[in-house]
Amino acid sequence: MIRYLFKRLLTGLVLLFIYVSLLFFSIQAILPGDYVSQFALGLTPSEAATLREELKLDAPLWQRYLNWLSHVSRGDLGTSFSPWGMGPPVTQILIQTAPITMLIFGLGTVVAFLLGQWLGRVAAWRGPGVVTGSITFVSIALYTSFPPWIAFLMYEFIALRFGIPVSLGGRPRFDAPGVDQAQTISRMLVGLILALLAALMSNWLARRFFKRPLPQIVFSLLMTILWAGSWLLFGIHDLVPGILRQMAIPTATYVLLTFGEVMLIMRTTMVDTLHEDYVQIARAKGLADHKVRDQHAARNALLPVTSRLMISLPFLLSSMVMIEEVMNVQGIGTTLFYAVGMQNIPLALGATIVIGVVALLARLLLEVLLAALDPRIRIVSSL
Amino acid sequence: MPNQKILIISRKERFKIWLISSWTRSRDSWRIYKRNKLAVLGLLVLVIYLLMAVAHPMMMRTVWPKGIYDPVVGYDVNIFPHPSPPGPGHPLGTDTLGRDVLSILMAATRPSLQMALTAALTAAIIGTLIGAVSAYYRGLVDDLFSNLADLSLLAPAPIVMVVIGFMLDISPLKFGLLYGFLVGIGGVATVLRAHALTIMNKNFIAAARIAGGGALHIIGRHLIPHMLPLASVNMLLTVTGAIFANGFIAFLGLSRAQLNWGSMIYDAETYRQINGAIPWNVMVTSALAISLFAASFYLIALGLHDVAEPRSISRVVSVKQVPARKRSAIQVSDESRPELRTPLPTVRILREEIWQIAVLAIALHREAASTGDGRLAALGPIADVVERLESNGGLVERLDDGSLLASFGLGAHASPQACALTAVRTGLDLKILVECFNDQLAGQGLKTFKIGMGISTGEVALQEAKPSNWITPVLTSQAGHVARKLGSFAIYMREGGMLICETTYRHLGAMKHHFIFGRQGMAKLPVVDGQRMVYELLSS
Repeated sequence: MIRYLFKRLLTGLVLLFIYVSLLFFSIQAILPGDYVSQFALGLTPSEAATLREELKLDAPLWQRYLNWLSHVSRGDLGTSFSPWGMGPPVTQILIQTAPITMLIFGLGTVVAFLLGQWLGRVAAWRGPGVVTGSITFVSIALYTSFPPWIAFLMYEFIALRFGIPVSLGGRPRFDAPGVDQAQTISRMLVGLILALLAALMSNWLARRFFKRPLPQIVFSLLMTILWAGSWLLFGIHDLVPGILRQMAIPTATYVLLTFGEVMLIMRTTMVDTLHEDYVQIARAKGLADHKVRDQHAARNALLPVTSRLMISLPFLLSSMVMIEEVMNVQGIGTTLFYAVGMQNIPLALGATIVIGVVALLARLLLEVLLAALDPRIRIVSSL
Repeated sequence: MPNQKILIISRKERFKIWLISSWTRSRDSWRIYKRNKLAVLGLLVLVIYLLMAVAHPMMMRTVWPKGIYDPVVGYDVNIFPHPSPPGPGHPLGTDTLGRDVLSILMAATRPSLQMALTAALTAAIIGTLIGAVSAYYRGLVDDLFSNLADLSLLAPAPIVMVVIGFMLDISPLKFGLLYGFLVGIGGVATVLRAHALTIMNKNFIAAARIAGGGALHIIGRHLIPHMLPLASVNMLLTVTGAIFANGFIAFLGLSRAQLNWGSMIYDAETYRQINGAIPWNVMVTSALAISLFAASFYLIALGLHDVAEPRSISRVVSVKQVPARKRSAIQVSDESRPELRTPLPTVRILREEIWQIAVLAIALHREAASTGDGRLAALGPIADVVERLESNGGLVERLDDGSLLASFGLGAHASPQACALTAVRTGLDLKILVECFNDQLAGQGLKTFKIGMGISTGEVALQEAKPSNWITPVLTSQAGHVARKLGSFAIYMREGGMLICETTYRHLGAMKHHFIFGRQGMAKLPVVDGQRMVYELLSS
């Protein structure tokens, strides 16, 4: 399994490299002019030439590419442009902007997954009726709503009305060390990942020793407690409430937009599984209803949900980016759009790499989850 | 063998078969589709959008004066201030620039439809081709395309499109093409490849291969037609993302030159910053328009999914489940039939053969434990058997009395074919397996199970890779001939050089004859006689 994951990670990185290289050339090919001719207006030709030289824009394309590549391989994503020459290093900007995106994306996806599969399970188990009908309707309506519109409504009616701040990160993009906040957020992110892993581990232990998985409520509670515990551990507990308050609206919006899909797939597959013969047999054995539902039907219904989520990842990331842009969260998406709009190529490439890495990591995590759920995959991958 | 003659189907007859089958197929599909009320609603909404797109130029030419209702430069001088709420002449009011909202909404429908359909078709065509080719050839081609799909998963298509939108002002048609391409090689190809792989394991593909069908024939005639239903589902699912990405570009104010619902919101937002008030009539209608548009495609996709994979629907209809809490009440209250009072929970068995597979392991275990049957010894130790069953997609559970229960439901085909395949894969002897639990079934008064009848031995024959034992070259070419005439088919094989060729799936509705191949030639028989014949041949 670990060898398989390692292989996937390796191919993923190679793919990422190819993709970014492609992007490097395509951006330069499509765009008219360069950074200097577009945005540093009012310069005399000699000044422009100096600026070009300073930004190393005068070298041939392949030389710039090799130069950039050698830096990337050393973990240095280069230096962003600013109208006055070299701006702050890309890595520094990304360290400030990426954690908040990853945190909202990670937390939102976990919550949406838990909520969606629970609702889908309930809907399928109850059969047709008012409850199922309304759950389905709301899910479809939210899933097919235009993301910026929902974000706008959330902002207008909840954030403004209750005075909850939403814009996160260093507000003027390049000044002032919002580093403190970024650092806290990245610690929260690490805490979330650790909490998730610990909760999954205890779920595995429960299955190993008590022959049954943890109930979902216990799982969610355990995760919350572990996460809160990690704040104490990192010593950021006095900063966290403020950030959580700011995060609430974007995260809620993301969950609203995402859980519908999980719920719909879960419901469809669960209805299908309920008529499978092993469920019938489980009932015939006289098992309690909730056992049949949670351990026999739902576990198998989770497989298609997880594999479908893997394919929807790009769309989830995109709606995340749209929310950021609308709510003015200073995350990776906003940075990307800003960079592309200003032809700030090193920054745009850096942001793309981060988005790719997030997609890659999320995918790997889902693959692990899928393998944990489906023994057949483990067998195939260990061959 | 009666009525022996070599049969050649004329072009006319073939056309008739195709016509009848496609008619019955579409009727059946509509019947299934109709059951999903939400899907019908989606279709209705899409029809309304189509009407809107058609009606706009007509309205402009007849009812609406150009100066007031033009979607780009119209202005109504009789109203002040703009934006105005709905009123006479403007059913949805006007926006900040004094344009009629309904007119803009309707004018924006055509480019959106154009974009959505282009994206959908491009994604479906590219996804289907890639899926079919990589499932057929596997190996290097498959690796190449899977990596390509992974690559596009790393670069979310909507984000890529928005980035491109930042740099270029692309037309809806180009947007659709590009988006369709990105999604087609990514998500859609991944889903369709997985589906194509399951099709490649089906009987009729094996049969077509044995019959000598080439790559082009198998991909074009067998693989792709079976992928089309799912391809159409995925095609429509693509649209939602495309609409949102396109709307988002407009929402950011990057393509204001084009009519778009997203840019309506952008305009409303922009002018709101000037005069403070939110023009709700613009924002709500355009947001609703874009959401409903996406929703209609999504709902249609849901309906088509039922058509493409009718398994779940037909099962829901055919199984009348008694809720657990009512079950015991019914049993106790029925005084006239005392046998119903037994407290055993009842299970309604839908397909007998699955139950038989489930019974299989019990029989194995009990017999092995008590009698030590010689035949069972041939299968090996019970733990070994269980492990093999489990590692091939079966679920083996331990019952309270210590016996074992195996069922095949975890994604594997729960069918006689699954039994045969399991036998082949696990290396357990199929004949012994079937014999063993036939004894048990007969003891319980259940119908027994014949290898020749229930199990299509085509797979077994293929896996054993001894085609020379089964079919002579002459017969192979004849089967190939019929295969090419008919499209999809399945060939059931039997020892002694007998071949039964049967049309499946695509021509099910028009199926009137069985084609039976023997050493002496081929017979074409009406279905009823054909079945009797097949039965006699197989059970002799």
